[in-house]
Amino acid sequence: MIDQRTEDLVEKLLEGRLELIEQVELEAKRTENPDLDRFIDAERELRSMIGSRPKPEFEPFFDQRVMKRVHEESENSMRANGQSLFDVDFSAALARLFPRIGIPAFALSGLAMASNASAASPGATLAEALFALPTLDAVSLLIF
Amino acid sequence: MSPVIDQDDAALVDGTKNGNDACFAELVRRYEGTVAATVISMLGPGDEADEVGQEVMIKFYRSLARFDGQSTVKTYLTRIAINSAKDALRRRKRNRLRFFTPKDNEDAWEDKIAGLEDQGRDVENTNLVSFALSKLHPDIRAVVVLRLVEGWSTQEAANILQVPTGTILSRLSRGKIQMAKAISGASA
Repeated sequence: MIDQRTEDLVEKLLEGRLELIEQVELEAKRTENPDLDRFIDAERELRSMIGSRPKPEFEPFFDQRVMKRVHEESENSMRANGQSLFDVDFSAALARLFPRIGIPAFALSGLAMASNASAASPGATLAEALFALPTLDAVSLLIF
Repeated sequence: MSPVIDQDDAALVDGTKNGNDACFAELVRRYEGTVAATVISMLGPGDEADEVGQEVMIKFYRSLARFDGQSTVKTYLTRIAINSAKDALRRRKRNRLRFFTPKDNEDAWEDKIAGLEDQGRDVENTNLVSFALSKLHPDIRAVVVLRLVEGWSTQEAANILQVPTGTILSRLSRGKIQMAKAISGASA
């Protein structure tokens, strides 16, 4: 069984980051644990396999494919909302929508509430008056 | 003004924000290898990896307005690449569950390796490593890719994946054991 500390030391050994004091610690662990050398060999082999494979690459002209998409998506974005592609994220979209939709909606609600309040029946609560809701008594009559 | 190839990342990011596409094209060329290493190691080579690689760059472009330079472009792009690759793996899993059994995918890999052997070639390290990576859970795979394939430190990997360093260490440990088993199983 290899504990986490030993794994850390082995990792540092294989990455050439082992300090002198850690080297002494690892040597002591090697003497204590006969499986440690096997573990180090397996680690070294795995790293060597991973390290020896060629670096993964995309097919040629990747940059051109990306730029083509950037141009296409930018054009679509300009057509749809008059903004370049990198301006378009959700919060920015909300911020842009607010003046166009949010403010008129608030204004309309205010107007509606004001006109409802003036036409409300005398016994209505504030919420009933503002939103032109039937009074509780009227609702009770409908239910029963 | 100096040619884009001589400009540092911060200048290229600023140039892109000011509408200079040549600056973004240079960033793509500069970090194509980083994105390829992450995405292809996570997904395996092919059209899907290329498509996800393009998505990574588009997401980077879209998010440039919010990029404040607190992390490097390389770290930022690697984080997008890992997340996009994990999304692609989730999509792949959904499609596989819809159309195939999980066994089909394993068989496909094994057929691929057997195919190479039939052609009289040794099973190359590349395929063995890709095969072993494909056996790992995406969260564990992400750690192995960052630490062992791309050589990020434990702390850097923790920053990219936004998890504690202890999580990186335990996932790496599990990942190495599972990879060693998969490799010895495939090459036996």
